[in-house]
Amino acid sequence: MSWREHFSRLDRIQKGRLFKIVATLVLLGLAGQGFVTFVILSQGRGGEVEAMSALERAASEPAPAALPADASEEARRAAAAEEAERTVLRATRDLVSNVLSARKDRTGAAVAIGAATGVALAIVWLGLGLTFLGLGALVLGLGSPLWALGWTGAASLVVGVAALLVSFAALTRVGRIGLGGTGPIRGIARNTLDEALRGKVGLVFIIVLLFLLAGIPLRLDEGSPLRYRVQSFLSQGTGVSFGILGLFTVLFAAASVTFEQRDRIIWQTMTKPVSAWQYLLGKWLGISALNAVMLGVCASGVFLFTDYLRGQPALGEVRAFVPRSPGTLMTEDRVMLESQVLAANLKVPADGPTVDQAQFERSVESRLEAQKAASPMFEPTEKDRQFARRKYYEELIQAYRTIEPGQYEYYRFGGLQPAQRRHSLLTLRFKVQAGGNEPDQIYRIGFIFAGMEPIVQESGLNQLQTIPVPSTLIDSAGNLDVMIINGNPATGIANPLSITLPPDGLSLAYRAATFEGNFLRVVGVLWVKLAFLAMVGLAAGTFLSFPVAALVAIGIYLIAEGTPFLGRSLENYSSYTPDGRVIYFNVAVETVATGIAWVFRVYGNLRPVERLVQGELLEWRTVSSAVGVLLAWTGALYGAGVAILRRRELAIYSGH
Amino acid sequence: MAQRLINDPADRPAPVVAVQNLTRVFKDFWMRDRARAVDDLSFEIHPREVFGLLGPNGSGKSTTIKMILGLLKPTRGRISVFGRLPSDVAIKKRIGYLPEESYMYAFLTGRETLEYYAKLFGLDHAVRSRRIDELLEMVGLTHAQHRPVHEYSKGMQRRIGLAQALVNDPDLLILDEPTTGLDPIGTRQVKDLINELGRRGKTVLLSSHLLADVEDCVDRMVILYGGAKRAEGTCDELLVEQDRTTIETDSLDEATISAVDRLIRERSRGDRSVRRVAKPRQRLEEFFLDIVERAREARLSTSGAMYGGATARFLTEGADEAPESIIERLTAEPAPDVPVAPDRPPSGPDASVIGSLVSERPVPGVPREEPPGAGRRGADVDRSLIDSLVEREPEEPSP
Repeated sequence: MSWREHFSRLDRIQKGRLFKIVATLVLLGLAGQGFVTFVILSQGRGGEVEAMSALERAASEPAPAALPADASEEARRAAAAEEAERTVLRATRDLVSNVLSARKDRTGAAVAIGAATGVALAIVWLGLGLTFLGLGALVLGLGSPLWALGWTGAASLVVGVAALLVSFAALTRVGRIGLGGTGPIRGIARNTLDEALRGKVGLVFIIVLLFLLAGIPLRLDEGSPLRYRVQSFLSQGTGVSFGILGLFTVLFAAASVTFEQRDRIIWQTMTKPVSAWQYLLGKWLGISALNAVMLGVCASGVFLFTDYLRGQPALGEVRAFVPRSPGTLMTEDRVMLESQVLAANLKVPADGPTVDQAQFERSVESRLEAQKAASPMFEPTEKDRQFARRKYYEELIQAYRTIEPGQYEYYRFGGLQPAQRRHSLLTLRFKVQAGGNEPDQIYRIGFIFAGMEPIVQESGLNQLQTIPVPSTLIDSAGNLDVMIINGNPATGIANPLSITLPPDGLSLAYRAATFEGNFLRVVGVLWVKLAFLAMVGLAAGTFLSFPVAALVAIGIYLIAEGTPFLGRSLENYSSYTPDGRVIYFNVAVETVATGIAWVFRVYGNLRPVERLVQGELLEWRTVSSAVGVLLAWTGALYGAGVAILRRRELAIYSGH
Repeated sequence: MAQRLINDPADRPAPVVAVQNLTRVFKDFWMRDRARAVDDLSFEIHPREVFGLLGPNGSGKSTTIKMILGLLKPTRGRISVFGRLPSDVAIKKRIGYLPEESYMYAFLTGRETLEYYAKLFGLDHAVRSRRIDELLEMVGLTHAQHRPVHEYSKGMQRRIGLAQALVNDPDLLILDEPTTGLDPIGTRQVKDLINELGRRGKTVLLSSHLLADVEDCVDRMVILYGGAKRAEGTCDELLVEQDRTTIETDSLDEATISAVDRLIRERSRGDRSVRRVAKPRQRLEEFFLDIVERAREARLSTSGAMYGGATARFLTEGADEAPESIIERLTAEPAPDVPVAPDRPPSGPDASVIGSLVSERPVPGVPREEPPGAGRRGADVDRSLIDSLVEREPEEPSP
């Protein structure tokens, strides 16, 4: 019997009912055993129990007696500081307790084991059981020698690629079944999915993506803090996945429609009872189904490896969550990882300066008067006034964000009632710039919160720093005020240069949701963006030849992705010379760029990968409005594509 | 036998396809006229007829078909299909189309190709599966159904193209150069299929420049040249030479031929005579099929194409019994003691040579193949000469 016949026989076996039943029983038995093992192992984690106990004791110390009415200001400040410290400890205890309890949570473990078992059962009943076993054996056969030889990187790559391939095969089979059935839309969708999977270009993209994704962990610096490794992996994993999928989507969507017209295959479809709207909808569904499969594979790979990294020791730990130094409750790296990275924090920027409108107008007029005095021929027009107002406001903002050496400035954060209600631990995030932002310069910045002792923080220039802040400092109106001093208030020594807080250089963040929920929202938004890009390619392909359609689609993709950068650049772009003369070329550029930034502002402002990496909440409100807008654009492009396809003479392509 | 279309024009139902003053001019990028592919063309295709659209390359046949299907828009004129515009999606349910070349998804297998197109018609799984099995059997591709289409030969691709055109059991079948790429057996099968569908009451629009392939099948035809109609009518109207008569007999000696010539001159008072005496020539197609039949009966092996089976059952359901086609005979189990042409024995020892001309006794081993339209052909032939030659009672005119 030849190899081919052997494989055919094995294929028949794995598709047989008896095999599926036996495999199901085996898998259920393994799942039960796995859960019991977890329960036994999770009973004692000595180090974690000690750390938790110490933290509990510290946070549970009784509050001191209330101060008498005639207590001094100093005593009041000290009492407030102690209370703030206890609030921080309680918040930290809650944070650590949540993290540790999630890791020991039997319900969570049961759900995870159940999900894994469910996936395995699905694979068996899809008729892929022996195939996956064979793949697993192949991977072990290839990976074990590599591991034994010490080539752990290569072994990890083999295992990672195999794991991704396995989930890809299973999800693809599910996708094909989901698009089964009869009718033009499903028929075309299923055909499009098959076209992507069986075409050379599609396969190359998919294989490159899987290899790149599996190779990212090998590039992480083992010596760097765990939080940076996790951020790097999240950034590269989701970023690379979306980048490659986005490029593939626009190219394949354009090719799918244009090549069918060029090769006349579309004749055989459109001479059947298939409307133009069914044809395009089927194409779009097929591509979106493929994107759902690929995003599912990549997202599950990223999420599972992130969870694996989370279980690695952070900087200063001997084991995960077990600090090396006795008496340390939780290392800074671990706290930052759990509170800033693997989190979903809502970021509240500082309010802008309070501007007296009348005083502002007087200042603007006086500037215009000064300009007229310098140039008697100058007669200010309304445009000149607008320019002057904009310029003066920019100066005010700049001045507000700039603190001279030894000086201070007040900043207010509003709308903090939700954080106050949740008693969330707040994090003040700041970044200072000075001079040329020399990397070896360290500045000491003082922070004074209402009723608290000053906090001095050392900071490198242009580097993001954080300070935990208790929610008890939020006043009844939901505001929190802070005084920032350019220098060390304790020693009275000022920094050498003025410091500037850039536009994103001062914000307050608090935990508003879970990392897992945020991750799901991010993946959902990525899928919606890919769905929009698919329709861009399809619509372009209805009336353009492939090269032009691909160019247009890729151009729109790059412009949409570059919108955040464009927006930041426009803030610093001026169409006027320093003395107020108009540069018409710049005006034209600014007009076009502003229009593009406005058109794609919803797409660009989403920043799902960036938010995930920074631990920033992607709110449901933001998601639903952005998804609504993107789906509206997708619908508009779809309508345009249908209208064009209806009017097209399909027997003519590119004029021939 | 199912009746083909012979109706009084007054009782004729609405045409399946009506083309009126159809013109198509192709323009270049600067909107200048470059080619007048179809020029003021008008014709109708009636229900249940096999209609031929004939002409040399570049005569506008494919362009006309594309306009009928909505793939092109006319510059001027009107087209209606089943009483509606070609762009109406609903009528596509009743149409099957085989383009001049096979434009298939290269990554699909033969079976998947038929599955895909069957789904476009909304056929459920059971119906799809049954029809696909029958169609694959009919076109002889059952053994290759799981191979990708890009691995097929051109003939195999044409066969699968024909199958996809039939998957919805169409009322109007449009075939653009259907025999391109097919071997003689495949060509014969297509022609037999067209005849079968015609007998079933389907309407077929057949476009070809291979006139020999078309002649056996069509009821009416239009001949195009330069985009314009040059001739229209039935085969008999266009092809039969009304002023000649052909009589076929067994082999005659010179004396008998001379006697016949003298008789003709006597009866026509010298106006007519025997113009030509020659040995009839078998058509190459028939000779080829005979060779293949004998080889099959001798069970000689081949690594070439498998020949197709009987017409798919879903296409013949409801049809009257049709005469056996040569393809059906080829694909049936060989009957014992069947003498093989041209070695068949003569019909009878004591019948005159001329007498066998109108004998109704079938020659053993030779099927009585009723050519299409035969009932309508030859209705006006002068039989008095024949009657006098054979010295028999005149035959009842055939129906």
